[in-house]
Amino acid sequence: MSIRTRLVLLCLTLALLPAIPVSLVVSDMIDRSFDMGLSGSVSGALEGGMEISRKHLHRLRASFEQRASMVMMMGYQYAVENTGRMESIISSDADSGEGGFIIIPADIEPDDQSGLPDGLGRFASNDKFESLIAGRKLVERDPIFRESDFARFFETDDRAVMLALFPVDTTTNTSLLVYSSTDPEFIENAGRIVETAQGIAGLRVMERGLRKSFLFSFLIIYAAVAALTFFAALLISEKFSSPVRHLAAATSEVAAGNRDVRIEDRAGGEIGKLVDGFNEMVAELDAQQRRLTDLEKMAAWREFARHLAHEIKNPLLPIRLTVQEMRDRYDGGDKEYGALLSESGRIVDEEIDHLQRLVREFSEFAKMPGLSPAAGSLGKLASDVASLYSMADIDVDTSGAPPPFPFDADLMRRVIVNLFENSIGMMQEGTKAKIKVGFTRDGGSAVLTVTDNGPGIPEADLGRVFEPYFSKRRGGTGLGLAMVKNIILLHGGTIEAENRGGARFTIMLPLAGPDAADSTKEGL
Amino acid sequence: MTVVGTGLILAALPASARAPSSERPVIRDARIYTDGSILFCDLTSSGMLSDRITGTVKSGLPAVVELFYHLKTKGRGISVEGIHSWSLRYDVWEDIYSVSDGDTTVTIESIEAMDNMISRLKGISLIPFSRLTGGKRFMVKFSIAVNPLSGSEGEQVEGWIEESAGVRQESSWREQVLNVNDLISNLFSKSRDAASRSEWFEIESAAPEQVERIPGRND
Repeated sequence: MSIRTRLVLLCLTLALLPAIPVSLVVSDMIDRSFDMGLSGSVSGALEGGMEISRKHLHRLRASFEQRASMVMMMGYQYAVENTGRMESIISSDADSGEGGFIIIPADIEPDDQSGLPDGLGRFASNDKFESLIAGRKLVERDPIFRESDFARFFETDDRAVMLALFPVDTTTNTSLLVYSSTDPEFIENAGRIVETAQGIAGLRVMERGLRKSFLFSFLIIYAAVAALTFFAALLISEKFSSPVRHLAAATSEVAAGNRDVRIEDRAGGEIGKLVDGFNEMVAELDAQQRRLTDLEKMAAWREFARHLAHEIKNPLLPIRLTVQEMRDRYDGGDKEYGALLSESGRIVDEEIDHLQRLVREFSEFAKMPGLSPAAGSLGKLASDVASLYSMADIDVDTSGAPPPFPFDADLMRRVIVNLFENSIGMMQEGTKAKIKVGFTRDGGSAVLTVTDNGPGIPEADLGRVFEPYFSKRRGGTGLGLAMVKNIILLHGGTIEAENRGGARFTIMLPLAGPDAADSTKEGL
Repeated sequence: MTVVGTGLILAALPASARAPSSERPVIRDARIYTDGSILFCDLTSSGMLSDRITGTVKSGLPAVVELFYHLKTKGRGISVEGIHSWSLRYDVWEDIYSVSDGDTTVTIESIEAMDNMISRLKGISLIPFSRLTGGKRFMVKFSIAVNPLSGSEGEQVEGWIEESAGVRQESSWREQVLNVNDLISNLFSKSRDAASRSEWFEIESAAPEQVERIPGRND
């Protein structure tokens, strides 16, 4: 199972695991809530409350009928003349609110558009009536007492106002409407009891569905949580596992021989360090491999040089002796022949000298001495060498020179000499070479640069200048720079050539000194 | 936690106002007849008012009785589906029960009388008898359901719970989650409807001329 899959599963498990105890707790709480809310005692109390409210309302109705009847019995005229007394009679029930009566002429035309029950239309325009009804619907109810049959009783649909409409008084030709408001607190409390009873009854009906629906809602929420967790885990695991996967793939490639592979992931933290470490390791491996290859090549070239020097050197002495003998045996009789012999002998001597010089260089290249590193100042060495060259302007800037560190002074001297010689040799006739030598540090390495003012190296030749027997210089053997590279490789360093105005050679040498245990140097 | 729990309850309201299948009514007998112009039926059922529905009605909330019927003739004849419904109400202030089919309202004194009335539904018109022509045999099947808290009453209870829990003002994200629940719940509402109804009661195939004729029997 991949790291990514494991991470996603782990995140999902961590996110969803709490769902089990949470669901149990919430389920238990809901069960308890249902048990408490839907218990028989709650329902019984509510039914009792409704019953009491109903009886109280009926008692208020009965009381109202009696009080309204008293007003009626006293007569309309008396009521008009003793308004205060009548109102106090109507309001005499302590459980009722404001009470009173409205008398209006019977000949006032009823308002048929008012929507009021039959008989109340002529009260529609009365201000008191309007404020009492306040737009509520009126419903007629039957009288409670048989004696009240002569009147008609109405109530607002919320039972807040009771009305009693009496027949038209023929003597005064007026209509009498007695009213009494019900205690608003009773109306409010009774309404709350009914509403609660209905809510509880509704909950009882919904109980089973609610329990199922709870699970359903819970699943919906957790499905959303799971989905979010999944995508978050996917993103996180991708970020985390991507460098690891790339590392694994890159390692396989390195194992297959590809040293150019690098990982581009810019992960931070430990993964980032791991990636950086891998890249450095592969780079180092690549450098080691290249150095090893170079050293192997160099060893082959040196073997070749040794063989060539031997093959050339051997016939040179007989040739020189033979030419000498030819000169010695000439008796001087033929002047023209004598001149030819003298000229030919000179040419042969010159070529033999040239070949001997070649053999000497081949031999030096082939017989590279072993390293004898000792702590020394590379800056001072360069200055010393530069002081020997009067034919060139050599500027050695030792301000960035490294402190003394182990290197083979003789071989490094040869390196510097060869680089100077190369620069001077590349100059056009009549041009004085100007060479700049500088030092810097790069991590654990000392960096030495030698820059000249010559024509530089053709771009096509940059990759070949360190190959043995590659030279574009007239009379050059092509061994100088090859020897330089060989020495640098022996020191565990690197050398590169580039064009910066003229040619520039950059040498990097490890400040820790050449590694004596480096197996790549053995047998060279 | 309480708020979330209440929210979850609210989410369930629209989907849960149905009777559980264990309290489904059962049609015991059905009789079809005609007065010559209309095909009528009488139905006898049991288990119409369960304790939960009785409690609902007695609290003042109305319940609805729904009768589903499906009449079809053999072969390429007619196929008629229809619903009759009655609302059951209780006036908590007047202590009076009533059964209404929309046109007429009958008041009853007790819940037992109401149960008795809706368990013996009489004179239910099905189709004009003249549509059963050609002597084709026909079949009728019935299913009945008593649904408490249908429609606005369910919303009324929902409002009461919201108000009691004090969540009406603080909804937003919770409502969004719960709306999803509503949506998914509604997808299953059809099967839930079927679960609250009685099993279909089928009357064997009969020819129109075999239908009992009772002149003037339609009330």
